[in-house]
Amino acid sequence: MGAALEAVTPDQDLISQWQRGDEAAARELVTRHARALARFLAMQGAPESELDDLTQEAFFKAFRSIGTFRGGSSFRTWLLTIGGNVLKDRQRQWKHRKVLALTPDVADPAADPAGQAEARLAESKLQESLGRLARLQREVFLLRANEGLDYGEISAALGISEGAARVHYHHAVKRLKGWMA
Amino acid sequence: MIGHRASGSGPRDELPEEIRAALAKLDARAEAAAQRVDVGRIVDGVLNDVKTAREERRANDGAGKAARWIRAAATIAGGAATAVLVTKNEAPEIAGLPLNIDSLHASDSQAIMIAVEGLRSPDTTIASAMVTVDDLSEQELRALLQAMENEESL
Repeated sequence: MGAALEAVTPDQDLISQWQRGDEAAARELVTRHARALARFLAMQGAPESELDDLTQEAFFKAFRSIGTFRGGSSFRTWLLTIGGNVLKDRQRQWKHRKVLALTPDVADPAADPAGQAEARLAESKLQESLGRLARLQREVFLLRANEGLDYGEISAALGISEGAARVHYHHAVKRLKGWMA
Repeated sequence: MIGHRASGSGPRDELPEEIRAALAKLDARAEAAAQRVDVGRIVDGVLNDVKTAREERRANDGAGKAARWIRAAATIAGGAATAVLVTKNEAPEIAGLPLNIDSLHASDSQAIMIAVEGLRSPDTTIASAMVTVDDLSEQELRALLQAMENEESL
């Protein structure tokens, strides 16, 4: 171990500093978590062209209600659930217009074209299937399978019991498996 | 890589293969898209939104206080106008008008409040902590009297 560990201010300290009016703390919180939030939104079907706006709105809402953050989950997990709410509201507005999801992959010329096409089809099926899941099932699934969170943190962030989080996850996996077969 | 995920075996590895592979691919694209967001612009946008929201809240609080003061002025003026009416057709004395707020009927009070708010321009602010009859001009008091007379004749 040569390099000294860089001191990182914990999120909770940054939140306290922000609540006392320290703008730099807010800047650090946004900088630290913006990309994770954008990725989570993109996984849930947010179009790439909307990611900046959705991320900004989610942070704005989080900062406005920061007094309600109790620390049962991490700030990031709490933020992701706020992002989920923002996306849900926005998706209602998008109902009647066609929106492009993520930018398609650039094909690797060295790779097997048939294999690539199959992988793209599977990915597209998964994206569509995630969109068919009930919102709570989708969020539990992504927080667990993609973010690697334990059920305790998921339940704290979503305001459900650990048992309910487990049930939602298993139902989500079962449904995805059925739809992708 | 961004997010909470730890390296090594995790929940994703326990998924059926077809879901796991598709999820990894979808995640790679989501992560690439996330890398393209303009974090600096988002930071500025969030702080600007917070600032605007605070200013709007302050402005709303200020407007609420001004409206309360206008109502207070109207009530006092209403008392003055009632007192003037009691003197029947005598020309009103502007200075030193007697005040009798308790004798004001609800309908009179309402009419006066509407009249005062109509007379005051929308951007009028009442800075004084004390509102008295002296705050109203002679013209305003005469208009109030007229409003009262109109209300009586209805």
